Amino acid sequence: MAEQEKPLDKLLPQGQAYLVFGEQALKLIQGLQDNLQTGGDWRNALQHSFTPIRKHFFQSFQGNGTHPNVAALWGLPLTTWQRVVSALAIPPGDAPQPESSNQRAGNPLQAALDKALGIPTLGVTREWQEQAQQYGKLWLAYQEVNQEYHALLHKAANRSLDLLQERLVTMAEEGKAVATLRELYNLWVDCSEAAYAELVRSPAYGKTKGQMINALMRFKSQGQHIVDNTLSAMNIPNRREVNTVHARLQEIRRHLSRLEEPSLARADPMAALMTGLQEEIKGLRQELNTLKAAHAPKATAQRHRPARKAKTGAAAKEE
Amino acid sequence: MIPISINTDQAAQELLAFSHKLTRGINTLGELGEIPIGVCTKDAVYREDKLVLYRFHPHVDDPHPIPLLIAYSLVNRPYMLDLQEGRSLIQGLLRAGIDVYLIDWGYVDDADRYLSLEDYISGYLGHCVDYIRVHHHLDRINLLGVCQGGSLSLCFSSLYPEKIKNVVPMVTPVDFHTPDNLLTHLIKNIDVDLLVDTLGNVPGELLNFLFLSFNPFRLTSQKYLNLVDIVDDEEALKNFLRMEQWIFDCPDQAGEAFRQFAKDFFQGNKLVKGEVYIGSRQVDLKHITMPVLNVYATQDHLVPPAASKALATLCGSKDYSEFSFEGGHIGIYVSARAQHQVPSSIATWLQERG
Repeated sequence: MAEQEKPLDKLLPQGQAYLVFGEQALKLIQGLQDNLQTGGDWRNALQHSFTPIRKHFFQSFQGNGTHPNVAALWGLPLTTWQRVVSALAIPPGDAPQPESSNQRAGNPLQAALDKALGIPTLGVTREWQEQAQQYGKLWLAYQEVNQEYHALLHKAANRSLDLLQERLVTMAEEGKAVATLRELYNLWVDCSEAAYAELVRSPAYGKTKGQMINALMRFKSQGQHIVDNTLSAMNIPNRREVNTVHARLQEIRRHLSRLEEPSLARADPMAALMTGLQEEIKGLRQELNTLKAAHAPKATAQRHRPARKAKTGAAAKEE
Repeated sequence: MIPISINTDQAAQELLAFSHKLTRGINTLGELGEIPIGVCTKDAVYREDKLVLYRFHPHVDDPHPIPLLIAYSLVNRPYMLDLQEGRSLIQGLLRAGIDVYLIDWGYVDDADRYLSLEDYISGYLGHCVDYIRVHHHLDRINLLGVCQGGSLSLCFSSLYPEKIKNVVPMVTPVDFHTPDNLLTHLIKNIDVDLLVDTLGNVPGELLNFLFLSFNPFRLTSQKYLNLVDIVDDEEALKNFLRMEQWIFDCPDQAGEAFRQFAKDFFQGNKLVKGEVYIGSRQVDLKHITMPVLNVYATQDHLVPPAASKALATLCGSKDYSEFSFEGGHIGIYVSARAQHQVPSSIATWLQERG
């Protein structure tokens, strides 16, 4: 089990993220005021003020996996997932972050890797080469599905901006206004949660999330396979062997436990006697029921209906 | 009217004030030290592997003669039930005259990977039930299962009805395929065999990620800003930190037990179909013939009420009752309202049944 992150470790980055949000909000407010000074309608001004934020979102989602600037908020699901990936990495620690399709397209090393993974394997070490190639291919497969996840998040992030805009318009129509940065932040969180909730409940999210975990597992499994083979070649016990030992040990423990079952009753002879008698009565009842069922005339047999179940407590009061 | 009435000077002042508070908060957190958790005195009375069975000191001279065993979920830790003074389901039960035992499953490690649901239900849980039966010279005891612990308790009560006098599933999923079940929605596309074969034990981080997926912005950002607001209130800060510790104290899950629970309960919804097997024995909820008090929370986002209430038509008990609490999955243990309503209702229901 990984060590728990301390609240202090979360407070500082989230505090900093809020300050980043504040800076962005100040730009939004300034933009809104500038647009209003040109004499336009406030709705148009609001629309114009949101345009750079949308652009900023787009650029952030085209970047790498950390997304420090995705309005300081929409990077959180990605950061949380990255922590999970890091916890599962071989060796444990910060796992490499998937690159965006744009980054991959412009990266000469990536192009060389793509090419290398397709080269036919040859010679005595052919199997090892194949395993390494497979490892690389599985990482690329994970990257691909990770990009799908990014795309879904990007869509939801845009939706959250739509919601924020809608909420601000509704507030204005009701004669209300956001008076502090904190209020604006809370409104932004509400809209983000609403957009995220829509996303999480969608079939596309469930499917992509499942595919992402599965792709990561295939990648990790292949990594383990390589490590196991390497250890085996060095005559060092590996995970496969430890698993076999653990499985056998657990089976022996179950067997022992079954053998020791009566020992608990032996600690209390009266309890053992009672248990024995109860078992005997239970057996006799079952035998009697079987006999009754066998002799019951089929034509008169009726389906037993359970008694209506009572409700008490608050549930009963509600009805 | 313009919907944002913040001027830039005022916003800059607000940010400055926030950064001062943040600095103060960081200093205060650094000075708080260890936060005590748990309020009721207890003794470890039985141990097996990493499991510890605790008995709480009764709060009355003549407690109810049938003890209550609480089986908590394998996910998260059971101290949520006895968090602090005034936020403790167990304290409420003890005050109401119940003799309370609690199972702490412990933290599994790689050597526990092959623990199956049979090992947990017929093994660990069964051994705890037997210990209490022998110790109190009783044939049957009361069993309360929380969340996943409730599902395990229902399986146990179905397989060993002769050992359970009354069963109380609490925020317990029974029908895992109700339309509002988000956990199932997230788990159904996961290749569970691949996951367990690859990872062995399933890391707590992965489960935490699933739980955080429900409200990522509130749970990973907003609440820490709210923390800054309470930096000058030491008690509020300690309450926050206790909850924080519990939320992220997510033990790894024994691989084989997780495999069966995820596949049979979440993906296959076999509990409602009577197709769950614990070892070689089939779980039929109709065998639950003892009195049942089904406790659920109306705003539960993890176990929707419908998922719990499905038990009404599936169990074989003629004495079936429900208690609905207006709150959420966590609030049912720790909210002020829960302290007044939940333990007393459970205790009264148990006492009425002898």
